[in-house]
Amino acid sequence: MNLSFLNPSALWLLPLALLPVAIHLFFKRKPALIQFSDLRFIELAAKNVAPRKKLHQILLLAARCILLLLLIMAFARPAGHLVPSSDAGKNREILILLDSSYSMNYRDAGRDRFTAAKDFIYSLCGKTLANAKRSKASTDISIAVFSDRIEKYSESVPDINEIRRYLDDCHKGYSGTDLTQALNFSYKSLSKFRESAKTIIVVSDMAGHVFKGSAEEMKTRIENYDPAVAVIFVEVGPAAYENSFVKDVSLEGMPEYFSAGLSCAGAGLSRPLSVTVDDKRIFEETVSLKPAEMLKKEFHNVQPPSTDESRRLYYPAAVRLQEDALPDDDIMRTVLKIEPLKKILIIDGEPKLGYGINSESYYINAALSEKGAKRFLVKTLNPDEFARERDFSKYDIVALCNMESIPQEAQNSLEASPPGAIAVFPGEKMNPELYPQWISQSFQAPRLDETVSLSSFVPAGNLTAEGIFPEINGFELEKISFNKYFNLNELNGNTMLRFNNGMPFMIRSSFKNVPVFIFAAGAGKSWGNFPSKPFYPYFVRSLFGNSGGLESTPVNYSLKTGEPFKYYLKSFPQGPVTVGLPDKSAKKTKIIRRDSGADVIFEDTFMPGFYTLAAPGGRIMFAVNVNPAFGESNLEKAGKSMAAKILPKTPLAYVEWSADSQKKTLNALEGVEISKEFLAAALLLLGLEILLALGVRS
Amino acid sequence: MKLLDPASILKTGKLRLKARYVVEGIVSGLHKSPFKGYSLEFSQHREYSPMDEPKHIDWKVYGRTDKFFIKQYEEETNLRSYILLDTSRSMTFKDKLTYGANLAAAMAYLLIHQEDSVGLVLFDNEIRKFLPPRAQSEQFAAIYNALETAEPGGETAISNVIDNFGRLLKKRSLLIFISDLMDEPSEVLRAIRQFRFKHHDVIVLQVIDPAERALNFSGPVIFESLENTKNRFYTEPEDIKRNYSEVFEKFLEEYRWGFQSSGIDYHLITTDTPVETGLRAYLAMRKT
Repeated sequence: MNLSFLNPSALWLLPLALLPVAIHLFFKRKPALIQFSDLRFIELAAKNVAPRKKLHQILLLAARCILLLLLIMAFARPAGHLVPSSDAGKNREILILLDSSYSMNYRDAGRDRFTAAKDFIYSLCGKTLANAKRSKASTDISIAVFSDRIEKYSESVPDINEIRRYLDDCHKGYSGTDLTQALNFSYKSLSKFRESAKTIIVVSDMAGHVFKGSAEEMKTRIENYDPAVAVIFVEVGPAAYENSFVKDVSLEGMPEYFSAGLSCAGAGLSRPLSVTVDDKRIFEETVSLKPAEMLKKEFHNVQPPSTDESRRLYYPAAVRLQEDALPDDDIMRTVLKIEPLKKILIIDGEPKLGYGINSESYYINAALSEKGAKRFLVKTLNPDEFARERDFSKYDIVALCNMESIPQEAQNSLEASPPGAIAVFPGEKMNPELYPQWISQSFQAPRLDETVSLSSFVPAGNLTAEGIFPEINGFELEKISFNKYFNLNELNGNTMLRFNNGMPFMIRSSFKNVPVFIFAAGAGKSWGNFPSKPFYPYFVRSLFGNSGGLESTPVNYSLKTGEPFKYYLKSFPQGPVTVGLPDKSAKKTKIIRRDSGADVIFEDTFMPGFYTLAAPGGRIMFAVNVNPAFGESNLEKAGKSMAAKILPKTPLAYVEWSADSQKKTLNALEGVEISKEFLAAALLLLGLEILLALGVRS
Repeated sequence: MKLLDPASILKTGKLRLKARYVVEGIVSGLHKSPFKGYSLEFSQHREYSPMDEPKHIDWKVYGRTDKFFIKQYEEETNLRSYILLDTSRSMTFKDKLTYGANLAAAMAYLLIHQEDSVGLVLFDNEIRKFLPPRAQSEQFAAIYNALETAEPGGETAISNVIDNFGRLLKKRSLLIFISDLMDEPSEVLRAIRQFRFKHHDVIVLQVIDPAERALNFSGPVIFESLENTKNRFYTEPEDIKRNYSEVFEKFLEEYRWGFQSSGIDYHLITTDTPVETGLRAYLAMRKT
């Protein structure tokens, strides 16, 4: 705080403050000389009294001098200023930083902090500009809106109406906060005004997360730091708060099971929790939350709405805590992707009566028969029936199991109307030479009789084994063994899985853009790979569930604000691909061509809610949530100590939120007369002086 | 100095100063003798006073003269007494010396009137004047004259003087000390007590001025020692008054307790009490 005087001529009276000392020295009573019988008793009596008496007298003198000093200074009408007195009379540049980060959405007394901040700025600017009109120097106000970046900046807003329009166009956000970056921007913007008195006013909730890193790290990030620039921090919103939030939602074994992490900041509380799928409530409970602790909740046997032939794939799901003063972190959204029933056609080359346990198709059927929600519609044909089938395009997968040969009619139909994918499982009967060339080229005779086990998955091009076989990650593949297998030719495809001797177990090739999965061994007792082993059903389900190539790379359907959404299209789209936002607006995506297909990228995910990507072949839904990693859910105040550390030697004021925050900010900005405070201090000192004087006398 | 008339101090003349303890006298008189078995031979007549026992009235003389006379016998002993007056410079504070001298004169008058022998010792840090005890009426004049012309001396050194004086005493006597006792109490008590050990009767009259006791001064003061003018002390008496009273009373109490525990008759007299009042009160108290 800098001091100036509104009536400086009164300061000429300051020497009068020494009057008590002068009176004490020059008008002291001359002591009488008295001859006395014995001085011993006087000396002894004075021994303890004299030092105390001397101290009393010094204190009394000091109190009187200070009292006079305070009275003279009060008469001179002192005023406190934030800016150095050398800046008095200069043109003024004020840059206001308005925090639009997520935490400013917090509602205090029915009004969110961002709105309160805007109202505060509007009122402050009104008074400042009105006061400026009365002085000779000009005042220019700039306003920058910041979160973890500068969102918006308006230099030198000329009048209060413009300020109002500008503020009305500012909207609260969902991003994190980086005040250091905003300060750096401010200093840089103000650096061009060399002859002006400069002030930065930060209007923010000043929660702990506004400062990132240590004070030293933050100081290095402010490149144009100028200690002559005064800074006023206005802390929006009271210190006390309570906030609950959903920290994360993860989907595993979807859709049967998913889990969510819940927490709270401020004080412990109880909140109703609910889970909805497609806006239907499927779960509810009241949970107790404790600050800084994570409560994990699991939701099992979540039954999505039954699927139908309409091919709707995406169902919005949400874990919700009862909405509180900071609502958007009380909900964590995700998207349940429900696959339509896959139509599987199994051709069994060795059907036994009733498709008994020795047939390949028996085991595939068993693998595809799931408890709970069904994903597959399975049809099994014998070779004769296969020969009569004409349209294979209605099937997602055709599995050829232990077929000795492919009848020509069937081959023709396969080539004319191919299915989504073809899988070839060899068995005892198989004679690759009697297969179409696009299959037989992958087989090298003869069969090999040796016991081998599986090795690791091998990524092939854009395909990853995890994308095709997500369910079997973590299996101990080396424990799965075969005692007979075909030697496959890798040159015509991509090897996805190998035996431990390096020879391919599974190859993905293609025929007319139709994926063809060739296996070196099949499921059969005679092949030594008993299908009862746990690996087989998962393997088959994964292959048949994902082999359509609809998603060869995993997609994250639940994002945080600011994270881009990426989606792979099998073919390059002919026109723009747009995304529908939660506020019903639509924006275009970025499209990046790949060797095969294209990546669609959408980066404008700053609003939480459900988004819809309109892609060729269907609409894809994804969810965006407030990012808990920003720390915006914890509103504990940072306090002024950190501000002082990163801005050393800066004239600093810190205004806490109260009914007179406006007044305090204005006082810091414009200066305030403090003669009353001096008079109060003088009164206090007068009381002390009276007590001292009485003490001396006693 | 101008002294009062001792007769007026003693007014009725009925006062007597008797030795409390047995003393040896020159002439048998008022006081008990330590020596018993002397023959009761008539010595002389003296005029009767109300203090005398009626059994000693010589009725034959009454018959002849119509006046009362008592017979003095040899076994009554006269008191040998000494009045020791402190004339050190501390006694010059206000009227302490004059007061003390008046006390001394009155005591001498009383004793001589009792036909006791009285001697005088004036001292400061040594004996300045010594009048050996005599009972004649001229002795009073000598004592009075010595008191009137007494000049204040040097510093106080009571214990030294007492020690020296003690060597001069041969016979048991009554010793009357008149002093402000502005000396180290332990030394003074030690010195005076030895007279009791030697069976002398000791009376101590401590003379103090009220200003010394209460330090009734105001404003800043430089106190200068009467006994050593180089010794000065600046203070504001109002500030130290309470402390001073405590210290001074402690000093007086030390003497009081010290003398009383040694069987020495001690009396504190302040100079604001008229001499006659003080002395009469003391003598009345001593009688009981």
